[in-house]
Amino acid sequence: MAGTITATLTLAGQGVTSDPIAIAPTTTLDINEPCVESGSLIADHSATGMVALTTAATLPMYLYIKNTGVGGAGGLVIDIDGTTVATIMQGAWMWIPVADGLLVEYDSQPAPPIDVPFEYAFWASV
Amino acid sequence: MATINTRVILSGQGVTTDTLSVDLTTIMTVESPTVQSGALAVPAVAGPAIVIPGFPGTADQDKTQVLYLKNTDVPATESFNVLAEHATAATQSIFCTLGPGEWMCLPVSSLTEIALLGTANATTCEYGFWALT
Repeated sequence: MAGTITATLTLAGQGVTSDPIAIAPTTTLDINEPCVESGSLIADHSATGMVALTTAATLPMYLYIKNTGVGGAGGLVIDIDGTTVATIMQGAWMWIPVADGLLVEYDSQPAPPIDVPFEYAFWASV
Repeated sequence: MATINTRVILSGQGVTTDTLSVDLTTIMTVESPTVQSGALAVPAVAGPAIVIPGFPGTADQDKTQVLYLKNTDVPATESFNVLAEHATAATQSIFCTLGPGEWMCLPVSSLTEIALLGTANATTCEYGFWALT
């Protein structure tokens, strides 16, 4: 069943320059299955190599990931199509429209050697 | 010490009967190098991919960079691709396609360089990036 979601970003604050940041894009997206609207996993530090989060979908998809770890410094590494694109530290998140046909994988950072919990969601783009 | 507030809201009916409601805010401590507000033209697919002005390359990026990109094409018809190159691979690969009006926000790994390439026609992009301390 096709549906829609609205994705809104707000970037605000003083930032680094004397010009405060005020960025707030909103976009409404048409989505469909396959999807995971609310999921969570743990990146096991003892696992060997990257672990697949999604299959290499034939459709583009929208992907959200947040590192939900607390009390440590474990980062979550995200590879797309075999290239490391993101390192998500505790409390941080990412949102991207992933190009079609690409595999998304995750792993915990090598150091410190701790498990990294995270939440995620993805939808196929119509 | 400079900070930015990043807030993402995901809402709507979605695909399942469970209504989507994600609303989270993260305060990030940032430093130079940064471009807090920039815009550039993205060439069509026939042209070479372009780097984001000021964004650290694979050889000199030693910090995670929070990167914001938005496709600002008007009229809203053209997409563009976002490419990544990691220092260990030395090849560019497409990982993201931004349609008209779509945006992305990503903590780009250190040693990963980002480039942009249009699809059928040239388009425009706004961007911002900040180094995480």
